[in-house]
Amino acid sequence: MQYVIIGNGIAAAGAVEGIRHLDKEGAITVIDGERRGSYSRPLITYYLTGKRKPEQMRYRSERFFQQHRVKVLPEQAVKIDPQAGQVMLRSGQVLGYDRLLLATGASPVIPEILEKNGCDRVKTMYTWQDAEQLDPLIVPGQPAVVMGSGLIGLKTAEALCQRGMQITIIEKQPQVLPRLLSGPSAQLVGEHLQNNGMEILTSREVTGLQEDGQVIELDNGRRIEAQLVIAAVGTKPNISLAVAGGLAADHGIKVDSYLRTSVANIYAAGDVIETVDILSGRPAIMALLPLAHREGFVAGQNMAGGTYSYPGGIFMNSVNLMGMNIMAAGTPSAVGTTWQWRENDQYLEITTEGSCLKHYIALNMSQVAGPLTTIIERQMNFPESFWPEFIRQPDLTSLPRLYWEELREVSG
Amino acid sequence: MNGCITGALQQDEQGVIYVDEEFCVSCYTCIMLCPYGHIHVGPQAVHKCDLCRGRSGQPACVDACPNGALRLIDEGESLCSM
Repeated sequence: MQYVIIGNGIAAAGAVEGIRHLDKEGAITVIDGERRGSYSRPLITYYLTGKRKPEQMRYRSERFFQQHRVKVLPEQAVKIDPQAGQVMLRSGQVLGYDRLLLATGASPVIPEILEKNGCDRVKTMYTWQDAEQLDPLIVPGQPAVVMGSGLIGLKTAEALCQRGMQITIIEKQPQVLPRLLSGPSAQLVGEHLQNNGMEILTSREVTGLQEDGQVIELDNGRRIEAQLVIAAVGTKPNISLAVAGGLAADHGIKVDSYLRTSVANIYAAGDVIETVDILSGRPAIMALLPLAHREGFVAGQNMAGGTYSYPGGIFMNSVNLMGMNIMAAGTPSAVGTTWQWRENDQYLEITTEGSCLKHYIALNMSQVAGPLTTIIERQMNFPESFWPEFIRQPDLTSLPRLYWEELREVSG
Repeated sequence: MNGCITGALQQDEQGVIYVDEEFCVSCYTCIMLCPYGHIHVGPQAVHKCDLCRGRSGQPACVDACPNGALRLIDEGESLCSM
């Protein structure tokens, strides 16, 4: 059996583990378009601050690939031919496959206004190479503008701030981390960032960029000087190989619950696929690292003859910003009852619909987050009277006996 | 372990999951995912029970339990049979 995996990110590593779980013999080839080996994207801001050395960037070691007998090709895939069962590489080489995995990830979206007037000072922060290119442009004391206050935007802002730059964050929505946080929690995060010296402008859009990129114009007429502009307004799945190969795709590649694409022996996993938000039951681009690994593992096993179903996932994120830990999971748009708890720098917000927990936001409150994530993901039901009780003293001992019993049942 | 963004959480030959502190960046994704709430914030890296990996004999808590209430058993093994 010939397995070919396009991409060498998180889903690819999961797939290698999945394939080898069931098939110790088949030949596995990974096409590593970035030629960086297996590394962890979230580490690139740590690379920028020097907290991670190049040798600490790896997600899976070279030994991992040797042990699993994987051939890693530092090559770009330019075309897939599902009829012939082949992948064409930029070098002209053609690889045949019996099972193919598309783990081609995503790319940052460049705002139109910057695309037109783009220049050397406008950068994205998505790959290791992006971080390397950004590094020499960092000048302590100089102003930097970050467009977008999602995870990438804020982590980049943090790194640039730690390198001594003056940061202005521009967010279109009325709050920071709009896809993660509620109004009140975003207020606390925003204040924390401001206390650490960042300027945050919400409900603002960039309307112009001077040709040399040194001045940004906002929709309220304000002009901001910038040595550097970071575009962090979102990502989009890299579906072009799949689409050109005739595979069904919408925003992301369409897959069934076995992570098969519309072509039977081609699978897809990670940020490139459209999967299911299990809380809403609707298709969604989840693009979350833990899910990428899980999907890779499931797809890998199925490529090796398994029949494992992937139910989808829930939105969840954990991030640390300037010493504050921010976690959120579930459906941010859930309409139900919201309960809040706050003590010193700790904050917990839970939203319930009847007896079901739908969403939580935890600031410096990580100790209860794991069980809450589990309760949401498994859609566990507790008596309706439980949640108001829990929020009065939100710790592990307040979880009902029922929770621990259900855990034991699942693992036992 | 599967959610670890850096690969710092690893499994040894005995099946014990442990933290390779050099690679942990304290993102706490593992804490967010652990159903048992048993991974904790530490000064340099997250802390997790590794069953006293490297210690000879039983984990310290099992050795120290005066009532024999703590035992180390394999998954699926029945408590009653002991």
